[in-house]
This record gives sequence, C-alpha cells and structure tokens, in this order.
Amino acid sequence: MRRFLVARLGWAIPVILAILIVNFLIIHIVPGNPIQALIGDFPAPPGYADQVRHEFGLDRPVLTQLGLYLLNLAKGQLGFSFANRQPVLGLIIERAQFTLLLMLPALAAAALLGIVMALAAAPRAGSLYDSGLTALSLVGFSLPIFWLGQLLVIVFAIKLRLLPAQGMFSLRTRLTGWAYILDVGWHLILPMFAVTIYYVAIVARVARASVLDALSQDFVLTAKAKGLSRRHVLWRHVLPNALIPVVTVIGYNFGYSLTGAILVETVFAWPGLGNLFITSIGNRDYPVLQGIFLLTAIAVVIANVATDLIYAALDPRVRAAGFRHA
Amino acid sequence: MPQTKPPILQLDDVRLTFRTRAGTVRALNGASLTVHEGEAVGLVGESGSGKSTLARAVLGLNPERSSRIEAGRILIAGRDVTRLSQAEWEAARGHPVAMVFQDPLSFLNPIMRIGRQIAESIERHAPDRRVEQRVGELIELVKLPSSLARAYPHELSGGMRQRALLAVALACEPRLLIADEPTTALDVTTQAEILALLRDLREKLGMAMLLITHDLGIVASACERLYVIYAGRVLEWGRAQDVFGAPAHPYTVGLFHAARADRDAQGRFATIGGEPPDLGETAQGCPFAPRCPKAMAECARAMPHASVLADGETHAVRCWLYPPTRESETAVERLGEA
Repeated sequence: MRRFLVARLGWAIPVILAILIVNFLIIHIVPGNPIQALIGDFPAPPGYADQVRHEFGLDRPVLTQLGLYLLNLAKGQLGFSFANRQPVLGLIIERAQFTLLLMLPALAAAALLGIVMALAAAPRAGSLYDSGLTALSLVGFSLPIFWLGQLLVIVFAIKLRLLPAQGMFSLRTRLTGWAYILDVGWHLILPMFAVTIYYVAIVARVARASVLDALSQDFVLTAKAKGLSRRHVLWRHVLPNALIPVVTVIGYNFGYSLTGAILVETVFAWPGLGNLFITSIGNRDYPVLQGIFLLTAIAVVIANVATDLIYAALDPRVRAAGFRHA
Repeated sequence: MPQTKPPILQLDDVRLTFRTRAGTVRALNGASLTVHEGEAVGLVGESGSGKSTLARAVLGLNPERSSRIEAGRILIAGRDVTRLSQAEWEAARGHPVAMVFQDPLSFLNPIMRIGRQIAESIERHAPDRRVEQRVGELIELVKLPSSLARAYPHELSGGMRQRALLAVALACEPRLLIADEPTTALDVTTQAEILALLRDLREKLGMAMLLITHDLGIVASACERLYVIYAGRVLEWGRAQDVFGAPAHPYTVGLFHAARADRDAQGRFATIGGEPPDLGETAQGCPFAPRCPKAMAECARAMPHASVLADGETHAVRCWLYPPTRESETAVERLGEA
C-alpha cells in the first residue's frame, strides 16, 4: 500500500510542474496589463508606471520571470499580491477556508443524499418514484447554478425575508463566540443549498445507474438464496459494489470544488477562493492567479490519489493490481 | 432405493411464464418432479429448456415482476410455496433448500472475504453457533485450507471458488441442495473432484440433491434418478439405470447419441437437428415434434399422457410412440414415489 501511494504521489510532481509552467505562460500571453489595472485611471507621471513595473520585476524577460517564480516556489514563497498588497500564501489560505466551509458540508450532504435516493430508487426501477427521481435529478443537473442561486435569493431573501441574501457575516455587528458561528451558519444556508442541489443531482444519477448494475450481478442471487433479507442484500452486497463509480464522481468534483464554487460565491458574495479568483483576473494579479492555479492543481491531484486509495479500500482486486503495477 | 422416504421437493404440473417485451414466454409448461429426502436426482436439458428457471422457482428467485406461476404447485417438505410473497420468501430461503450456481466467480461477492460470505449464511440459519469455528469447519468440509476464510474470490482457482460457493450453501444446513450446472465452468479434472465432493457430502450429511445439468455423463455418475426436460416439459423420467439402459423418448435417444459422440452413416457427429422451439408460441402438441425423427400426426395435436414402461414401474415417458398406461394415474403417482 505504501509503494502504491509513493508511486501515485511521485507521478503528481511532474504533472503539477507542467501545470505551473503552462499556467504561467498562459497568463502572460493573455492581453491586459497589471500596471494599468493597478494604477487605474489616475493620471500618473510617465515614469511611475515603469517604476512600478520594475518593482514587481515585470520588466524582465518572461522566461526569467518564470525561472524566478519557480525558484521562489521551491523556497515556499508564492509571491506578493499586486492588488491586495499582501503575501499570496496567506491570502489564499484565508479564502480557501471559507470555500471549504461552504463546499465540504455541501458535498458531504450531496454524497449521502444522492446515494440514499439511488438505493431507494434502483430496486424499483421503472416505478413512479424512480422515474420521478430520474426526472428531478435531470432538472437539478441542468439548472445553471448561478440562476438557481439568484432564484433562491429572490424567494428566500427578498420575498420571504427569511435568510440573508449575501455575504458571510451580518454587517455592522461585531459578534463573537456562538453568536458569530450562528451568524455564519445563517449566511451559509442558501449558498450551501444551491451547491448541494447541483451535486445531489450528479451523485444520484451515477449512483442509481451503478446500484442498478450491481443489483443485476449474479452474486446478488447467491445472497438472496442464502435467505438474507432484501435490506441486508442491498446494504451489504449491492451498495459496496456500487460505490466505486460514485466515489469517482465525488472525488473528481471534490478536486475542483475549491475553485468550482466561483459561480455560487459570486452570486452570494461569499468571500472564498472563487471570489478572489474573479477579482484577481480583473486586476491581472498574476501572483494570486498562479497561486490559485497551484492550489487547484494540488487539490485535484490529492483528490485523485485519495480516490485511488478509497478504491483500494473498497475493492481487493484494485489492491492486488496496485501492488503489481505500482 | 429409498422407497419410503417422504418427498422434500414436489413440483406438480407447474406452469411459469415470463413477460418480456417480445410477449409472453412459457418457460415451464406443466413441469412435474419429485425429490425424496436423501435422494440424488438429475434434471437434464439443453440451454433454454427451463431447467434453471425450474431451479430458481423452487427458491422464488425468478424476477418477481416479470415472472408468474400460472398454475401448478411447488411443495417444499410438504409446505406449499407457490404463492409466497417476497417477505415470506426471505424467511423461507436457504433452509431446508439451498442452492449453488453455475459460475463460481460471478456468483461470489467479489469484494467480500470468503469467510464472511459463509458466516452470513450461518448467522442467518444457525445463529446460536460459534460462527468463526463453524466457518472453519465448513471450509474444511469442502476440503479447502481453513486459511482461505480470509481470501477474496479472485484469489482462488475456479475449483476452489466452487467449493467456497458450496460451503456458503452448506452453511444453511439444507436438506436439499439444488446444484445448477455446478461443474460447467470448470475443467474436466476439477469437475470430477467437485462431483466426488458432492457425493461425499451427500453421504456425510444425508442431504438430497437436485443436480441440474446438460451433461448426461454427470448424471450417470452422480444421480439415482433423472428427469429429461425440454421446452419447459418433462419428457422422460425414471431410475438412472433404467433410462440409461433403454432411453425411450426420441429426444433422450438423441441426447445419448450426441453425448457418446456417435457418428451417422456419413461419419459426421450425431446431433439433434433443428432448434429448440420458440417458447412464445402456444404449442398444443409435443414440443419436440418439429425436430423429432419419428414424429407422427398425433404429435402436433396434443401432448400425450405418461406411459409407464414395462421394465418395472421405475421409468416413464410422455411420447405417442408408447401406449398410454391404462392405470396411468396411479402408476405415475407411484412412480413419483419411487
């Protein structure tokens, strides 16, 4: 198992390096000028722009900049944000916490709900309940998440005045302790709901198909022939065999969830990574963008490795294959 | 022959249909069969003859929504199980009738240890036993090393998997074991080992067995009586030695020629010409008539009653070539007891 893990992580290093270089070059190819964005329309003296450009090292050749960037990375320095005037690392970590606070519970709820719904629907494939679930998950899957988010804001925040429309804290208050936590939870409900609906739809579709497939496997007949109850067969035999494709989908989405929340965070003004990403593009804030790319690449790789490990835990055949090839 | 033992399994003129997109399929078309306590009975037929459907009907394992028993009765140890609900089936499966299936890899859960799969049967049927010890006993009973309790199915050979599957069934402590093509997926030497093991286990446990196969050789070596099934109907039945000595039905004769690799006048292997019938049609007569070398006008008109053959009352056939027995009902009844 350790060799398997080392081999998988070893592969990740060249992948992440390649992603870094490509991202670095793409950002610099894109038109737009960070200095202009920084100075804005303020009439600056002609020498000032050059001075700022020199300060940030943007007057050097691109390849030199790339070399310096990689060198700094190796030293654990992600650079300095032009726009926010603070080190990138701290900025990203702060925002990533807020994104995780939104995405982790949403994904976990979606995974649980999606699997339970599929387990209820698949044994009755073709029934009204099953068709209804399939139709619903198709709708949930097709709804643009930003549209759903705005709809939720209109209904629950504006019309019903039940929940806050935006942000993560109530403004003009200084809450501490439990009151603070409750306040954040209060603001979390709508965006989390929007994210959960989308992922429930994805998980339920895949889980239904794979439960249906597992139900038709021969070993289910053996389990029934032993006299096991329907519930026991479903939870102990069908579900573990059906989980692998579901884990793939959840793992895959988890990797992207750090930045995948861009739309929801924008609609609900949630101060997470997605929000930072959008403003940093507007500001041509290269170091921040590169930092976010790096974090996303690492998150995707880690999510993939974790997915592989869960496969191995679920399926002894994968373990055997992993030992042989790794 | 155990004349006096009571029947553990009785099928009485069972008619079972499947509803499919293409229409209704008559998988069992009046199938009758009896297995007595402790007896080994073979059920022989080619693919699609309804033999697996019959086996699964005994445990209520045919798909509940698309299959239906239209008529007839299935009795397990005297209890009528023809119309059990799914919940009642859950309580009835495994004991006194357990089943092993054809393909030992796909019929074992690939991600559960062998020992656990056996333990589930024990926990269900003999919960007061010490499970781990009993798992070890069962694994040794099917002549596997007890260390295999911790193995997964993919780590075993085909023959070992079949033994493991057998242990799963035996853990239910059945009085009747239904073995659906238990050796078809195995090579010849392994087949022989599994058959020898089945014989041993039957003697040791006093268990009856219904062995379902397309291979007459297996029936000859393992069974006391046999039934020949074709298109969902039993065409011939009796003591193995009688049927093997003088097969009566032209279909059975054809099977024997094919099994012995007999050759015809041109030196080609003997086969039964034509194809098994389409089970969607409502056939009036004998289902084998279209392929039968001795077919007569009557054959298409109606299915004949049973004829008990002269050599004792241990062999019967349903074919127009043989005069229906006058006292057929009683004789056939008694034959069922034989």
